[in-house]
Amino acid sequence: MNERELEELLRSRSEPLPPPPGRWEAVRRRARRRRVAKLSAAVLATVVVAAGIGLGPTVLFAHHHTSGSEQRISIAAPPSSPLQHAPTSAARAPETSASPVAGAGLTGFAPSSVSFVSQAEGYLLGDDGDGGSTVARTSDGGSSWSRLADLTIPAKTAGVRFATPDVGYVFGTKFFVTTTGGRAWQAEPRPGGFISDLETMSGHVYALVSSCARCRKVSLYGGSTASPSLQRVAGVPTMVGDSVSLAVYRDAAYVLDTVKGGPGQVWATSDGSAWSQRSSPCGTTMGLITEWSATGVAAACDVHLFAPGNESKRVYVSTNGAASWTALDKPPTRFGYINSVSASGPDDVVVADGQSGLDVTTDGGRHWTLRGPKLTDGAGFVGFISLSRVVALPAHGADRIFITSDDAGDSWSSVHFPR
Amino acid sequence: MTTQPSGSLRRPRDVDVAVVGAWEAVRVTSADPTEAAEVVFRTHYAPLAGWCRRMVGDEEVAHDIAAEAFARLLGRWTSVTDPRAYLYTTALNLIRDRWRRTERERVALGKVVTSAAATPKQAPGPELRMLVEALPRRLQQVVVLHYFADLTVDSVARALGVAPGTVKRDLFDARAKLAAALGDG
Repeated sequence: MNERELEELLRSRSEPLPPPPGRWEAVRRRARRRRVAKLSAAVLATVVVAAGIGLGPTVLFAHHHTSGSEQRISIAAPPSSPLQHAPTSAARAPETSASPVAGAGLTGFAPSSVSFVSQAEGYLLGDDGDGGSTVARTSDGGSSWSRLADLTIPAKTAGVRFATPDVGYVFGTKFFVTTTGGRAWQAEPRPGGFISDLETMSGHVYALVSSCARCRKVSLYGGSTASPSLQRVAGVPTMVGDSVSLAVYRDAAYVLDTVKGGPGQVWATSDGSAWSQRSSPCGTTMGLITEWSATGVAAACDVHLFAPGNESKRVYVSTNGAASWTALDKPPTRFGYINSVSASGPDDVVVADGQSGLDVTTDGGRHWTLRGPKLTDGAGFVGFISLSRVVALPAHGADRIFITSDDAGDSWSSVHFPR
Repeated sequence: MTTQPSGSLRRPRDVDVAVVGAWEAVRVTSADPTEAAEVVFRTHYAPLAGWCRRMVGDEEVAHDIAAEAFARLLGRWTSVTDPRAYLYTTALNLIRDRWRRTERERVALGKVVTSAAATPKQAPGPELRMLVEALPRRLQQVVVLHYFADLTVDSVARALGVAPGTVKRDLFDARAKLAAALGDG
């Protein structure tokens, strides 16, 4: 065997072995248990030493000769115990510039769109109860929200996206841009009459633009977060769809264009410049697309079919950038139109439907379980913001709540805004 | 038209998962340690577990080793400067333990059962895993970190606290040993 053959042999790749469901949580639990055990041992050692110095042989005697000595020593831990300073796994001090109280200044607020720039920092856009929109901000992962700005745009058809804590967009029948973290918003000329969706990541901004809110011809526009102007994306023709949706991850972007009764199309770029057509999982049904990585994509098809059980109302995943798709084992089992779908991998998918709420699978669709709070009009939006953290919104603003999960949709909690 | 803005929410924008091994990129730009740890998990678990499977030949054991490496990484989150190097070095140590245990079991079994029946199932021929297993510890480390974990020579040197020249020399020695062993095969 010569040197080159040996190099090739050494550099031959092992087949990746994806983690089983729940492995990340298990790893975190294992690490946490060890940290606690380590800290407890440190406390115990500290107290034993302190007891030895301060209390003398009586306590040491007790330690050796009484069965309850360990409990006694733990209670006697000094105030400066390391336990009190133990860093939590998600230690991040909330910003001191804002002191938001849950829902402060947000009476009547009904959230309808959400965007997060980190697990802590997020933005909601919702109806202000007076025909306009309010943008609210959280810096603690959504436990508390404070009013950021009021904008003259109907919330019902508007959305909010932030690219960074400074640069954000509110879009719909108007187009507002902020570069000051939402303190000031500038109305910008929009490329068409209506922006139905806008996604941004890693400096890229993409928008789906049509002449009006109900117009079927949709064009893809793009730009960078450095400038508010958007240009038509070359290589993607005007789409004529009943449902056009957009997903962006770093330099990769996907557009799913579906027409009821017609062939679906997926257009994608992996580098932010060259676009090409990929395969569509949805065939002749209407669909929504989402992503969890540059090449990991999920799509829900036949989203406007109310009843469950139809083979076409199904979620598909692709791990090769929409070159090919695999149907999840079973379709979502609930009644309702699918308003939104999100995935953190091929196994973990949450569907927001407009009847039942949040339908969750963590095993690639073998089982679907209805989770989350009971919602008047079902769920309107769901989105993973990390492998395990998910945020969701009710449909149509009927329930004035913001919903989160920290375990990939297994359990949910809600923040209620005052009526 | 979608009924409302759809598509999923963005994951942390500043965490560059594609720059494999660029720990600094993850570390500097992500203010939330949980986010960064999760990104490292998402990026490195499957390749690490796949590599472990290749080294131990058992999927379940490979998952155990990979999970243990990640748990130890989380335990040292604030002090580790290169997670990939740490993960592969830790996994290699666990794999070595496994090899030693298997060898002990093999010896123990050999005492009570005839050798042919007792020998654990192994891949035939001079399989790379066994050859790497037979390398001296120092050479094993550089081979694993450079070839299997894809670390540059400079990164391996940093991870092991030695000069890049030492790593290059060890790689040269390791290749020579492996080539000789494969030649013999």
